[in-house]
Amino acid sequence: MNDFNQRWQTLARQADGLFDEELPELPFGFAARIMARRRDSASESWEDLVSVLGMRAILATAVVCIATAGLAFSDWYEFRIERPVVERTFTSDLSWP
Amino acid sequence: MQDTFDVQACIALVRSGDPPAAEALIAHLHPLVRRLVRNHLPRRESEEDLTQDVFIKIFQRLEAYEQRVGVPFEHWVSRLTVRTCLDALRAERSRPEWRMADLSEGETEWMDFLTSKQAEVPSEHAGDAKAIVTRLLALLPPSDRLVLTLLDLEQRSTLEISQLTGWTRAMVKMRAMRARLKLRQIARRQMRSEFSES
Repeated sequence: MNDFNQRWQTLARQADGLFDEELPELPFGFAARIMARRRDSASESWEDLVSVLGMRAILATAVVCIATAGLAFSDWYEFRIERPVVERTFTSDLSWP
Repeated sequence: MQDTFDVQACIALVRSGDPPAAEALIAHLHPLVRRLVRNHLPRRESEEDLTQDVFIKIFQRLEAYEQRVGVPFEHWVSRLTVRTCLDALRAERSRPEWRMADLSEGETEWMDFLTSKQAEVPSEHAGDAKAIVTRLLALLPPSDRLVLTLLDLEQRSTLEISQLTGWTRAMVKMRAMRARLKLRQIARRQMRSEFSES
């Protein structure tokens, strides 16, 4: 590993000028583009926040509604299944001879 | 002119919504940001586009910037730039693939040297060192690439890297060690693939 490290360091030193290339001048209109994008992104981020929160609120409401409806339906369904069918009523007992 | 530029006064003007001050700040910071972006540029990203993204972030977060004694504004900018580049590198879905057959003669010699196949430094092909370093670093995961670029190529100290990345110095050393280990594995794998091809 040490041998590799030494060799890598030698290679890295040789590539030392890798980042010495001359930088370009500030492109024409660069600052104006940044300022324009900054304005756009500021409004976009606010709109995005509202839309993301809005979407989450809608999704959360939908989940709650579906869950509530599901619970209500299951209760109603179980009640229907488990309700005993009374064939002989109290009045029919009384009327029995 | 550059020496007399009062960054803090300029920031105060930018915060108050002064467009010429914003332009002056961009002109002042452009070389620093551009240099960092160039050094840590993802393969398919445009240097100018990423520089623009960095400046947008700088202006968006300028309100949150707090001046610290002894810490120049440029440190804050450098850190933001490096973090943005790292995010861009992470967003790259794929890493380039290359084979030994794609390399030039000089690049092959450097690979031979790196994998101990050749003892002498290929001094005649010093120019190809840049190319092979770029190729090898591109195969590393983003954090590893970043730490080796900062440490071995830009020759920054672990303290500087710690300040730029937010990692602790111990973490920087550990990442660098692991990155070099991965680099060695990559170099060997590339050499093995050459033999399996032939």
